[in-house]
Amino acid sequence: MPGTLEAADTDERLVERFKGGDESAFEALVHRHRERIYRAAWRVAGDHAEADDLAQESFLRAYRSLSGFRGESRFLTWMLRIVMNLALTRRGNRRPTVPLEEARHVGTGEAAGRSALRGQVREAVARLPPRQRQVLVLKVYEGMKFTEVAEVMEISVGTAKATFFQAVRGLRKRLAIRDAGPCREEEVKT
Amino acid sequence: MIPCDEALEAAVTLAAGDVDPARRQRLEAHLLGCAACAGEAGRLRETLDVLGAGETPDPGAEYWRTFDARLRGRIVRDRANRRWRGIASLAAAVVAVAGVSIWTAGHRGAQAPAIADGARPVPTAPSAGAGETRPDSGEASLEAGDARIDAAEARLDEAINRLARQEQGERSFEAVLDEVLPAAPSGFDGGEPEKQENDAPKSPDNC
Repeated sequence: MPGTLEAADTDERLVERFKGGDESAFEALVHRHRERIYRAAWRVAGDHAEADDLAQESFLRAYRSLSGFRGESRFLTWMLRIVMNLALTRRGNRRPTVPLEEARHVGTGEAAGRSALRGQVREAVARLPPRQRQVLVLKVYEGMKFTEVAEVMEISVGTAKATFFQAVRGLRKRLAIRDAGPCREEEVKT
Repeated sequence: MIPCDEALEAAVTLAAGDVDPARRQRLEAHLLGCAACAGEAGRLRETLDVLGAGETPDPGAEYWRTFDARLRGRIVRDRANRRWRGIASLAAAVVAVAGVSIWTAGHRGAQAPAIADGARPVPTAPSAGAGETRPDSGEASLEAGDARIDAAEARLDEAINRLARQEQGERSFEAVLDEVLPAAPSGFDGGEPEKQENDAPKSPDNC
């Protein structure tokens, strides 16, 4: 597998090798980052099929334009920017879908409670405006610093912080409303 | 002590685990003395904890086994499509250039003999009906050019005829004058009239 063969190579080195005509260097980059890219795509898209397409299309676009990549940011940062831009272009202001079977899941016990909470969180995140959702995903789930989030989103650090704050407040509001809501299942259906 | 708005911003970064130690100390000092900011920071932390409970997507081993192969296929298809698009664009450009060249050559060819021989080009008969679209725009342009040349030549003929008519008219007028009026008086044009020569008294040298 190319990913294991070039495990010692840095991303920068692999990019240089690809620019020099070594196609296997790109495969190594894909193998190294595909799970993170898929996860980020899944969190902004909200479902597996869309996340898969986003991840594949992002790598395809990276392949097309990697020869022009100047290395001003890390390869992963650049890849995440492609994912986020693609997600914004494709979905616009549409909210990701939350599978009903998951959101409807009601049971008893700790496991059921955790599952229900996960469904609520997922739905609350899905209902955020796209940019807030993306900043939240990059900050919370990708563990990026605000400077990195700003770089990926092509916004200022101050805007990244403000957007994150709005996202968290929006989430809290949604989750609190949901906790106090009379009928969660019906609300999800509509 | 830092102001509340700065504390709130610091609380966001602190909750996100993205604040430097010096700022963290200033924030904690602020939170100790400000119940509102302490409450906000607590709620932020709480929300982020809930977010941490969000599921981590795991599409399974089978998905990852096919991921690279599917991507490779996508890249190959994309390359092929782009190559075909490139060839199609090139072909379209060649056809366009060839079309323009043919049209230009045809247009020059239609005009050149007419100028060289002074012959009037014969307009081509229309090959299509009035409502029929012409498949070749170059041919249509050639016919339009011929029509313009015909019209210009017709105007030229008319102008020549008009001039000829005017000249003929002037001659007729002179002829009428010659018939109606007596001969012009002598010396009018500097010449010596015949009558004067006959009537003149003979000089002693002539006797």
